[in-house]
Amino acid sequence: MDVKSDKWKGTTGGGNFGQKSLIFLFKHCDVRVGYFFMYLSIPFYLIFGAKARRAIIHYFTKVYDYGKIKSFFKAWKTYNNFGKVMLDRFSIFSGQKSKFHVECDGVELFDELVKSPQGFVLAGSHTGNFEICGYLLKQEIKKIYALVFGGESEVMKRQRFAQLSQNNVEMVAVKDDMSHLFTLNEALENGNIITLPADRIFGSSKSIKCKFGKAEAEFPVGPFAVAAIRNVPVLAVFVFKLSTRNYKIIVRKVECENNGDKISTKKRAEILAKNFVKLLENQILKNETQWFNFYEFFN
Amino acid sequence: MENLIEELKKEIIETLNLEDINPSDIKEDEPLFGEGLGLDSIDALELIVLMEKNYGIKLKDASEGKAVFGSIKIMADYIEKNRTK
Repeated sequence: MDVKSDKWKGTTGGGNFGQKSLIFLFKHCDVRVGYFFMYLSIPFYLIFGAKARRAIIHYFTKVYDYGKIKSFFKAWKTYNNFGKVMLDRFSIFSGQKSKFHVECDGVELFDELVKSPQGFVLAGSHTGNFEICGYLLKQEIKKIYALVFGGESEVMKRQRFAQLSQNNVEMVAVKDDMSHLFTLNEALENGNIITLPADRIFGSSKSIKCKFGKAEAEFPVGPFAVAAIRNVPVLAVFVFKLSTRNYKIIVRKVECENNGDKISTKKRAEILAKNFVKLLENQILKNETQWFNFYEFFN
Repeated sequence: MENLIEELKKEIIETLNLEDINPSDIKEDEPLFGEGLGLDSIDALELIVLMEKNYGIKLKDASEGKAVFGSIKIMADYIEKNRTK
């Protein structure tokens, strides 16, 4: 697998020093102080991050058919929202976890599968703050193996580990030697849960073209191939920020209709991928400034 | 051994849905990943499961997998020595 050729590096900005400083700051200050300074830095990102800015503006012009000015303001709002969810993560890392609240919609689907002996897949996305599920929700029946990019800073890795290991979540880094596949395969075989991002192509180049809003884009098939190969159910999980301290977690079953026919693994994976994209589209169109795909997705 | 190699080629084509490839297109010594057949990580997972289901072989780790999936010939040789089905 060629991880080096991926468009998305999966790293959090700020470096070790900046990230440590944020954790220190939030031990003594409310997260809204961080929001204030973040507002001041947004123009910097908009001006100097031309590639990401163009990509997010294209998302609004292509998917929603907005004009350039409206798209620019939507991009600004998206940067704001992204900054906030990133700062919320650091606030949690600094020990402020109890100040955040989540409301759940469809979580009974998760509870039901957790009680069954079968393993399953949680298809995540870069909407709102997916990671916060692992920080704020806890279950002890099944272990969750979360596929993550290996390129994060030491601070992020350490903090994530500290938070996630408390909640029965183990991180599995994507590696060139494919060792992550053995871990994920074994996890499903042992009836555990795996979670992986399903709205960006990384690792496997297998993809499928889907309509999304008023545009089309290539979406990954890989995460669903993993489920199809082991023939396990898939749940889609979306997390959106509602207000300063409140998040909403939405869980939906990704269906794989086959009309009673025996279908190939490839076909099953494609059906799952298409159905996931429909669920994602449904949620994103209602929360348009909370999809953090800062690269050219819609060609 | 020759029969197993042919059987494996057919299974790989069928399992991985390699629509434009015939068994004769797969060279015995050609690498399966990268330059050879150009398979990727998801294909690797399919092959891991294929080895388990069809031959009762459970690969222990990535380094073993990397060695076993070197080529069709290496794969067939490994299966012949370790199969339980």
